[in-house]
Amino acid sequence: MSETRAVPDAAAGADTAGRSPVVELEGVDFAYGGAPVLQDVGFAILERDFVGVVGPNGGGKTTLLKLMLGLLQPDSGTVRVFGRPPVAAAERVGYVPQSFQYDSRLPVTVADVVLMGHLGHRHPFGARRSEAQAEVRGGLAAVDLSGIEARRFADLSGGQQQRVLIARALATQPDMLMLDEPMASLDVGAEREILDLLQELNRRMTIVLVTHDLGFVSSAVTRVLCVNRQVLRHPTTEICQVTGDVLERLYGSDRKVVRHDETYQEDDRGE
Amino acid sequence: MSEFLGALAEHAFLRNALAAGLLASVACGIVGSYVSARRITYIAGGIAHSVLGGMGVARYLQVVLDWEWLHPLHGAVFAALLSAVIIWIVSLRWRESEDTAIGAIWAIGMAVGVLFIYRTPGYSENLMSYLFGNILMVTPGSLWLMAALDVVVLVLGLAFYRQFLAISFDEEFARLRGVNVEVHYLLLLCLTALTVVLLVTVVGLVMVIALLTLPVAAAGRFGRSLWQVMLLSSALAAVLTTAGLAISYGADLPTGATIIVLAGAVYLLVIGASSIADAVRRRRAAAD
Repeated sequence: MSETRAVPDAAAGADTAGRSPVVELEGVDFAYGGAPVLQDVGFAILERDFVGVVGPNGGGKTTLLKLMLGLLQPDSGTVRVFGRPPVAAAERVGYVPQSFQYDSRLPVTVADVVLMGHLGHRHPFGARRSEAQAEVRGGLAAVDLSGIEARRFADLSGGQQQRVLIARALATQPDMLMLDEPMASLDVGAEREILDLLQELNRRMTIVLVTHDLGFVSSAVTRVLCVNRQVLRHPTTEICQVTGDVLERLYGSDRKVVRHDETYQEDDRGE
Repeated sequence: MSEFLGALAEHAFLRNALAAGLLASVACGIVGSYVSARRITYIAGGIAHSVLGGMGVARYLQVVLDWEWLHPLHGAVFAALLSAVIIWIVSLRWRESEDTAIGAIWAIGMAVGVLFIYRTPGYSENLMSYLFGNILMVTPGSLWLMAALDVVVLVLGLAFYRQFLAISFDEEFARLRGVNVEVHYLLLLCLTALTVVLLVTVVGLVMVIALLTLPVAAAGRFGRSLWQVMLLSSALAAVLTTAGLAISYGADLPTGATIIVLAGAVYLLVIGASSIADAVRRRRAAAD
């Protein structure tokens, strides 16, 4: 499916397997007020990559994700998603937000939440009722939560809520899924289930996963982005052998640029 | 009760009052649910009080310039919508000053109203009926205006149900789905303004907030989704206004205040009972 929707003018950065880049950043700077968060960031994410985004807290992981979603605009540099500005590509991207804050007194059912994925571009006033119900059932089955559509979202466990949010993101029928720490505050069993689900989804879509626990996802990811003001990219084979020394530098208290022995930045940018 | 039914058959003003209460209840449940979901009760309060300015000016023009066609209710609609737009602009441009703006609109609207009512020849009884409502004075003409406002609130409020729900739940995600969050916020503020005008005629502008929030808060204990809360709270508001009207008529009490006291009592009862039920359930769950 994603092959046919590949963007022709982005094909210049295709890798040897012929996969096109779905996300391209070049020379991106971003600051909140005066404080720089990201500096001169450039990389590409290819079709059906499973990208793990890691880095210390405050290093800019979430900011990077929001730039790719078009929720934030870079101070300089360009962000392209499916060859277009992120806002124009938003309908092809599913998003699962971090540490979800919502008003637990708000009366909303699981079906309500999943149907929010149908809003906007495809169905300005929502899908037809029967169609919508079928899609909700299908979406919940995909995240292994069949039969709970009438329950209140607030009454679910953390892991169930997270999976409902994934179902909501999938209801947008995305070609790429972006998740911001979806496993935070889950127990190991729930974490494992979500990772299995993501690996399954990775067969048909690109996945970008922000995580603080690189070890846990290392078996699934095909690429790793290390974000600490700058962004460096690894093939996973290397990251799997990360030594304590590198991790210490990555998460160390000093906020200087992380040094990696080898970076793949240059050829990713196609320069 | 039978005495009230008899009076209802006899007096047109009572039938008008009943109709006004029922009309206001529909908008009250729908918009009240959105107001609670988006936590803009304070804004609704500001708009409600600013309405006095519009009513005062309209009444002044009606009497002094002899504009028979102009009704204080027209001024109320104008003032409420104007306040909604001002609050929207401030929230877009100067988010941190939103509270100040609401407070200013609240007080300035009342001050303007008091000045114009003071300068209007004739009885100054108007002030009291604007502040505390006088549902028994509702005219057939204003009933038609209320019905029109009700239709607008009902149609727009339900047409954008999914958008309003999505924004209340997760504004960022709604934005990514192409929902224009700012425009929908303006729409919600305008619907709130129209609902406030409907409620002002029933309970007066001081007590609008109670009728906008208490039925919804009580219904929220039972409704699983937002539309259920809307239905329940509309029904509850209808029962409260009707019962308030019947009681106040029988006991010769001010209707607005009777409705509000009744609403407060029902709210406390529901919250108390459901808290006890929750505690019992939790204790049982812990014992298992």
